[in-house]
Amino acid sequence: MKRAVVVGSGMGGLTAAILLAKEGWSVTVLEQHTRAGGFLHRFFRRGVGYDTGFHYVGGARPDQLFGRAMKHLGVYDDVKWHPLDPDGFDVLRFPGFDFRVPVGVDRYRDRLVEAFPEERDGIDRYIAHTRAAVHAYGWFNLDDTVPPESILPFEQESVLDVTRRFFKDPRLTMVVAGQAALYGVPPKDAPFGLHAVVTDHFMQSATSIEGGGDRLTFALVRRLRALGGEVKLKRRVVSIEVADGQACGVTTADGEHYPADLVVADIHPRASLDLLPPGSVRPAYAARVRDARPGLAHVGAYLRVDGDLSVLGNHNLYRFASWDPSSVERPATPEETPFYFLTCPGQRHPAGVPGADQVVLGLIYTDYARFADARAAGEGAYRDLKQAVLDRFLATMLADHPGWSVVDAEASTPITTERFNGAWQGAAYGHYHSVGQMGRYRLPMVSKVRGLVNVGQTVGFPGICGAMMSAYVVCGELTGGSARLMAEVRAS
Amino acid sequence: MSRTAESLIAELDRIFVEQFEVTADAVVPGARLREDLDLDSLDAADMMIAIEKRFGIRLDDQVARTFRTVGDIHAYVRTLVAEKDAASTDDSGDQPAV
Ligand SMILES: Cc1cc2nc3c(=O)[nH]c(=O)nc-3n(C[C@H](O)[C@H](O)[C@H](O)COP(=O)(O)OP(=O)(O)OC[C@H]3O[C@@H](n4cnc5c(N)ncnc54)[C@H](O)[C@@H]3O)c2cc1C
Repeated sequence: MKRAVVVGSGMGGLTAAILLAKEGWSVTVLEQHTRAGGFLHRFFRRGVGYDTGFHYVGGARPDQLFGRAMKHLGVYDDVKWHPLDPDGFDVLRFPGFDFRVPVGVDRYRDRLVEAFPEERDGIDRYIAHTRAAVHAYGWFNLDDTVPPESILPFEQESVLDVTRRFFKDPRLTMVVAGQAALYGVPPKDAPFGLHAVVTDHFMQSATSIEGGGDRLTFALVRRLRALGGEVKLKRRVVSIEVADGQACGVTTADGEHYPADLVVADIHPRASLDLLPPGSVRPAYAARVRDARPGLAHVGAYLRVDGDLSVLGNHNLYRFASWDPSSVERPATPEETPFYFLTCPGQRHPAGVPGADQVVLGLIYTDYARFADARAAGEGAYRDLKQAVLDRFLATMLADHPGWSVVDAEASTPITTERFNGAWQGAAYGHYHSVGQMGRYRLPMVSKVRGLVNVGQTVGFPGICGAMMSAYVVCGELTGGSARLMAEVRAS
Repeated sequence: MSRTAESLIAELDRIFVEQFEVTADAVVPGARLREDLDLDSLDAADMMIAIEKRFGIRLDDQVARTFRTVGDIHAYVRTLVAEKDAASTDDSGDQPAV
């Protein structure tokens, strides 16, 4: 029986593990943390759970891509899916203007026209362009007739350039391009194709999970075990062994060696590179991976709030301090919170535990260097910065919601993320999925070391669906072509 | 300032040697990328990026797919670099062309 070792139990790693186990491989997943799931991970305070990196997913209805894949993996029925408000699952809040993003591209188009009637033609042309872009992504449509290079033209132009070409009113540009905050790449750099696919995916349906990301992790782990695979926690991989150009196993920090015919790395390719013996890859590849820019880092706010939270009932809030597209990337500092995301899972799922209905999760983008510098300056400087950024965010949030009061507030920083997930520079979405780093410049999934492949959001798209798809693409290549795997998912 | 043809070729050949660990003797115009130098499609992507970075040019994907030999790369990069140099001379407006 062929043996696979998966490094990391994130969405990409667990998906790959199940797909390989289904093909008859013996699979061991090694996870450095005490809990599986990577960014699907939640932590608990007094029994109340807080999600760290998962709030909602697109296309999860049983007849849509993510839903079909969940059925194909064998976990769909093991998770309680909760549809967000189809009439407005995301509220984009700009100064003096709310835009509610509905399910259904036609409805989205109508709502844009309603808000910006004089731009009807541009909006229609934009929607047509978006449909063409979405069509170019074969895997996202489970269409194996589309050549992979069809995506290239759509990843060469930024969302900001495309929207500016179609729209005259800069506010309309921002209403459309501002959704880039969803996947953490500023509109000036986000490839249009990425934007088209991610927004389309959520406009098919937007769904959260009762009990949070953990529930999906548990379901995936249970399924893997049923297929004979295993997940070992507290096993940090410290090296990947290579013999004659072929990966042949890994070693963990506790000194245990795991021989393997295949190593699947659900970590940043840069981290994989550091685990390889020197000289395993050519300098050109090493330089390219080392020079790759990591994605935006974030501060996570884990709050319990008193007050009327029904205003956030069944949707997420994206709040922009200005109409300027740079508000998506301008880092949160002690002085300003240019952007924040809020969601209230306890308002839509049965609370179970007292206090869970008061949970408010916040996300603000920030820069890694600021926190790393403070950290280097000492524990006190770091704590002060963390508190000051959190305080500014809370003040901004409370000014927007005067009826609320904060009962409990905890924050994570890019340093926290780096520590618990191993994410390079604490990046929320791994790679900086920008025009300059996607399309023909994207990092490869299959590596030059035979028997070593990369999965996860860095080599795929940001988000759990992107991480999952990367595993489908790689496993398709490893097990005799994507067409068969796609057909299986289509039939699921 | 434009490079001489020889220095450009030398710079390109250095990429093969330094970044792809090909022995200097093997980097001759007639060398076939796949059969003689063991460069596959994964290397091709790295090669394209290394060349674009070194020369500040953009290779056309369609053309890049037709590369078979070191000489093919020499010829195409020379054309692109010449075009780029010509463009930057145009930009300089009132300065005399050299
Ligand atoms: C704040 C935030 C909010 C988000 N919200 C959403 C959302 O609402 N919807 C959505 O779809 N996506 C969201 N995402 C993104 C989503 O969480 C990720 O795309 C996805 O979970 C990443 O999966 P992955 O496979 O790339 O790996 P990760 O989740 O990054 O997992 C990697 C795993 O590898 C482990 N590891 C690292 N190094 C080693 C080692 N040396 N040895 C062993 N194990 C190791 C880590 O501990 C980790 O468990 C969000 C992310 C963040 C940060």
